[in-house]
Amino acid sequence: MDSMPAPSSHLGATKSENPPLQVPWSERERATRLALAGELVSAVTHDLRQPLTAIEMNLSAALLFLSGDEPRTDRAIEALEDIFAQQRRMSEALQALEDLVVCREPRHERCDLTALAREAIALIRADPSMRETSIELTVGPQTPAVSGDATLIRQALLNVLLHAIDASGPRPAGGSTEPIRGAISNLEDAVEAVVSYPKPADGPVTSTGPGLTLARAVIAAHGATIKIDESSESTVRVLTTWPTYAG
Amino acid sequence: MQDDAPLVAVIDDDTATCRAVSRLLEAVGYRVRTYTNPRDYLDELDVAPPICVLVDILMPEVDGLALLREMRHAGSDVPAVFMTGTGHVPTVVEAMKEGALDLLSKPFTADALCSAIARATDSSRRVHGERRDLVDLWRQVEKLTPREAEVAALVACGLLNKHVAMRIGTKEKTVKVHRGRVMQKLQASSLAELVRMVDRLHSEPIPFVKLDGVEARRPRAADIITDVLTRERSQKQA
Repeated sequence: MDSMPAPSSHLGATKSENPPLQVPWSERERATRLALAGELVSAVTHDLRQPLTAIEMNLSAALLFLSGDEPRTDRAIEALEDIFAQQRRMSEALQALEDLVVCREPRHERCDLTALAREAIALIRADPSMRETSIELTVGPQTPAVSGDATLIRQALLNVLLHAIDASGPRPAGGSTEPIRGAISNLEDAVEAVVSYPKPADGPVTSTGPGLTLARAVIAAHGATIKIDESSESTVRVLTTWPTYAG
Repeated sequence: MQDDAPLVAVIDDDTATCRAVSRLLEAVGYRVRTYTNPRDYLDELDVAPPICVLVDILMPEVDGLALLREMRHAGSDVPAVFMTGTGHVPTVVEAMKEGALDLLSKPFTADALCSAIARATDSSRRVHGERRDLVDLWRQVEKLTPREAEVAALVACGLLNKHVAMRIGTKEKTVKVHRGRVMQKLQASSLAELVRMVDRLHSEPIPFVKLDGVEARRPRAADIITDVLTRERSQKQA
């Protein structure tokens, strides 16, 4: 029987003693995404429950319309057409989930950053444990479209918002707290999305964590930038800039 | 669709769910009104109230629980069946505490939906019937003068005419006259029936009810009866 390796005598082993695991970046990124998948599943499940309910109702209604003494084919056809629409909706929800966990090059499509930010906020509000979180979004005039992969950009914005919620600390029971503020504005050749949150009283802001790591990866893959500004005494700002869509 | 078919209100911010649920309920014989914004439903609360509401818990702006609270505050006792896409236990518990008659977890089957709506319809009809009886009783009671209301309560407490006379400072003969008028105005055929009527007024001290969108208020005579009954019972206990 092989002998067990001796345990390390101290935890502060140097780099040369314990070389880092040679895991490719893409694999680490994928692992990070998988770690987040658990949280995302609840949001995606919500997206699937709605069309599944509609399909069940439409199928049952169509059967009833067709099986009566005087079959109502027009109403049955309406129900069947709705089933197709709901089936497509489910496919899109599943595709969105797959996009998040499977490695692939981001697409460079025309994306509305404001719409994606609103979707990210809606996903947060769909989680009952975060429904009381106050998020305010302001949008500047004439914000152009940005270039990228809508699913990934929405995820990056979602992760920045989740980071802001975590970093700003627990909400006081029954009391109000400063809202998380989002702002989208037009720069010369980019669109800026800023998320501001109250600076935590205890300790510095952590600019790492799986959520922000994934956001950084998505941002880098899109040629966008991210910066955390802690110069204010009371507020932390996470600034991201996204290249505008050139066509 | 028959015009007198029971009306169900479906409230869900998801248009496709609203449309599909509405289609099924129409196929089984209900009339349906759909709302993607709960505020629109609250605005129409008094216009042809439904027999029950089917409402999603999680909605932006006003959620299902807040909607039910506002309905109750406005005097609507329409039974509510909740739909939910989340198994979040505190939310489910809160829904039941708020008085949800049933809770359907999405995706639910057509059978589950129809059973829940049928139960809500039965409950609504029973409550509606009880409310109508109470309003009928109020209409009879409001014919009583304050003195007759007092006599009705004292007689229902089991006091003899001569004791009633002593309580209200009059003659036994006058009490007999009041008592006769009470029985006539309330259309009570026996003392037992009078006692049941008085007990109901005492056990349901609600100030008003809405019946088919019309508000009916509890008459002053009913309050007098309750006050006298409470006083007599507390004296007995003492």
